[in-house]
Amino acid sequence: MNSSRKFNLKVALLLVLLFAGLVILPHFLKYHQQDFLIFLTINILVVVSYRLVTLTGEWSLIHAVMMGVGAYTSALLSKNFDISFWITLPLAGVMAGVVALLLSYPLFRMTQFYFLIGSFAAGEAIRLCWIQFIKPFGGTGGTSAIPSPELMNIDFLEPIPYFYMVLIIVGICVYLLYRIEKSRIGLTLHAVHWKGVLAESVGVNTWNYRTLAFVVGSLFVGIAGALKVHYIGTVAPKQFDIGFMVFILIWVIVGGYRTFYGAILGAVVLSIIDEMLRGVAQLRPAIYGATLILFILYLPGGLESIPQKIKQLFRTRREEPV
Amino acid sequence: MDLFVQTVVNGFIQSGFYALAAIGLVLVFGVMRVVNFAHGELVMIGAYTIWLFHAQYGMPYLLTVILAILLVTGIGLLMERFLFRPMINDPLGGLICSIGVLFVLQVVATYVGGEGPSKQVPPPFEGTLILMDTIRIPYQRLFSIAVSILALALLWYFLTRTKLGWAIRAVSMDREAATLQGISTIRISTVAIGVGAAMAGLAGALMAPLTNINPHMGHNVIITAFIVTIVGGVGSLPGAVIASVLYALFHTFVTTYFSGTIATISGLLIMVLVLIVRPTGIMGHRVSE
Amino acid sequence: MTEILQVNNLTMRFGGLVAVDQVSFSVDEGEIRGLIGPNGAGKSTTFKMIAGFLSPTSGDVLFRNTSITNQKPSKIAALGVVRTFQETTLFQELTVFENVLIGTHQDARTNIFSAMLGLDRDRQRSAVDSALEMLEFMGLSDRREQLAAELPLGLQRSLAVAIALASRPSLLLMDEPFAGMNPEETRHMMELTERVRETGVTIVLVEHNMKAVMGLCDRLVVLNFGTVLDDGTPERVRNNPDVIQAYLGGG
Repeated sequence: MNSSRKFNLKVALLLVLLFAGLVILPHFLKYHQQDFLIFLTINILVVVSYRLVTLTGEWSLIHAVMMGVGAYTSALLSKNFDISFWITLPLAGVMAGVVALLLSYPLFRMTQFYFLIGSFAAGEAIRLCWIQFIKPFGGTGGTSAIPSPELMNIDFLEPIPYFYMVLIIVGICVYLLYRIEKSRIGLTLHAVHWKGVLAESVGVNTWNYRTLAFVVGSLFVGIAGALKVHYIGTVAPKQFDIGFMVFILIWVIVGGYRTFYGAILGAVVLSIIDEMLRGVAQLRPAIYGATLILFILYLPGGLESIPQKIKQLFRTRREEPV
Repeated sequence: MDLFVQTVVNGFIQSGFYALAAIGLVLVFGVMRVVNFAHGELVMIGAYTIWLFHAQYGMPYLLTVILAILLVTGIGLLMERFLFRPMINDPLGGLICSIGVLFVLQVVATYVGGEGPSKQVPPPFEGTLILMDTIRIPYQRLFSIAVSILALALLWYFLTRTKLGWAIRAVSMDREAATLQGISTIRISTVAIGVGAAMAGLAGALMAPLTNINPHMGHNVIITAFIVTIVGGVGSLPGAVIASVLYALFHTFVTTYFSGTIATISGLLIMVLVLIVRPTGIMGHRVSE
Repeated sequence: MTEILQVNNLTMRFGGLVAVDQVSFSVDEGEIRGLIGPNGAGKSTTFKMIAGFLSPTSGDVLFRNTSITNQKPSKIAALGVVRTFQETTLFQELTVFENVLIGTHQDARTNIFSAMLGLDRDRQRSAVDSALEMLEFMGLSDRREQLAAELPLGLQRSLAVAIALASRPSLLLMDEPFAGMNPEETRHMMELTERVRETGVTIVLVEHNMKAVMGLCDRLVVLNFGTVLDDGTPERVRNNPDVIQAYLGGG
């Protein structure tokens, strides 16, 4: 108990610091850097929601597409039916959740490798539908002129107000996801992951819990998708392709997936490095790819395991490493 | 009616590429239980080799085909040695490594070919065979399908008639049992990924004059290979070949009468359906955990 | 005595092989019932069918006169029939305390909104309390922060029982609780089982260790080649020449 409470404090402190830093940060940045900051904040919600899905031990390849489901929902509703962003934003989440629920019936008949491939196939099928059905989705080029949020007289076309809105919404969502992981449900999801049969034997309906994680994770990433496209003004299939999915995977793996903050760390650190590589844009994917391989091979615990590794170096050899 | 017959012919020719591309994926998954996401990029590198050395530098086509095979085999062997082998007990790790390779290879291709529009390679075999006045088969396609069939036949011979081939099949059926019988799984993995990569390189080389070459062409290849692998039965080579023919016909027909995107969407849906109803595919055996 | 569990003509075929053939027996409320037999007699298969981990080819399992045949294990557990596992199946990566806490799932389950907003605090606190109580009862209190994987075998078995008991079953199914234990550990486990029964839990145990079973069980069902060979007190079973024959013949 004690150790986990101390650990919670550390996470809380980190989050508060991060939040405070993010509030003052945009004023010191150039225009394109402010853009970058908005996307980074949204991506934090993307990785944290993905973490919930992976807690049950299944790595899905459909998370990026779920983000797209939310993005398209919000974009098309607000553009074609003139519905306010503040209504389409939650609807984006609901839609992604509903699609996830429907997909859970076929997908959760599969596990491990099959689930991975199945989720990839289902996601790609959805994405190709956006390309194929030009009405209403807009085809390969997507749909543009997505209306900006409206609230009092705030100009959400400017990056700083939009950033503050994103920060608040993402902050709330990440906090809620954190609460879920630390709650009874989080514990049960761990149980489902490590020994599904044993969990089942004490009354845990493992299917329901896998579905819960998948649906709730998709719901939050749907919101992230809406946040993203209402800023860019365009929604297109390319934004949610397997390439972006791979970025999510890389963030989570490089950051580390054993703790809540690992994925956030990965997204932040890698995005900043990525931003600094702007000058050599052509090489960026290769650097990402090489980083990924090096981490998997030499630091499978991710960035989050570095403090522990350092601690281990200083510790006397009173026990053999396990 | 003419369109129908022509579509059947086109479908059969297409199936050669599908089978060549899928077989490598099946082999690697069979012996190492790792999904090689970079497999499509191996095909892409094969195609780029043709573009660079044949179309740009003017080397003879057949020579560059061999070059493509050798080059891609080399990449495959490097992947096996430095990525898949250390990751043998962590299939997810192996998969993620292969995604890393995918990125690297795409950048290499962009670097070699430059950005901009897709590359074209003028067909080395010109002219068109016309059958019964209506059915047209360009000689280039005829050449491709002939080589594909030959390569698959050689592979078939290798897997069923040689000791090494037998060992590969044994390992992909039951890794543990094969190890107990004294088969060196490391050596088998090396051979399997080498053969698989060679096939991918050949597929890319054959495809090069018939398709648009760009760094992202691997994406469609890997989707096709996944569909064929799953429908044929994970780990089953005959299954993959049969599924290649069926899926190529299906895809060509839907493309001809509707659209290419619809064809791929339906293919993906079929694959999901197979995963649900019969995860072992049409020819597969149960994969031991 | 009321019957808590009835097994009626339970049959399991695997392909052509009949693993369990028309097995029937019943369990009284509050007793310790043993299910014994030589290797391959169909004990484990019967056990798994009762707990819902296998679907029988035919036959019926009644718990408190309601059929639980073909129900999901989680559903059966929710009704109060909970099993333990033969091998040391634990949440190895979690602490002893967390292991038992997961066992309290029935009482502590919550919905996503309560979880996010913290509305289930009282509920979770009482789950923590009952998990701590259970650790105390099983003599694991001083180990509660250790990882389950680090416990010695005997204590891992105790933990497995603790997890099952934390879900407050009325019927506990124990799968070979004494397998691989030394005499010391066996005696400890026997005491523990007796104490569990004293709290009002009915117990069915599948066991190979004849000595432990004779001393502990009120009544025994003997299976051989998938059928019931004998059913009665340890005294009666011990003196049944067919049973002796089966055990000697089966090795």
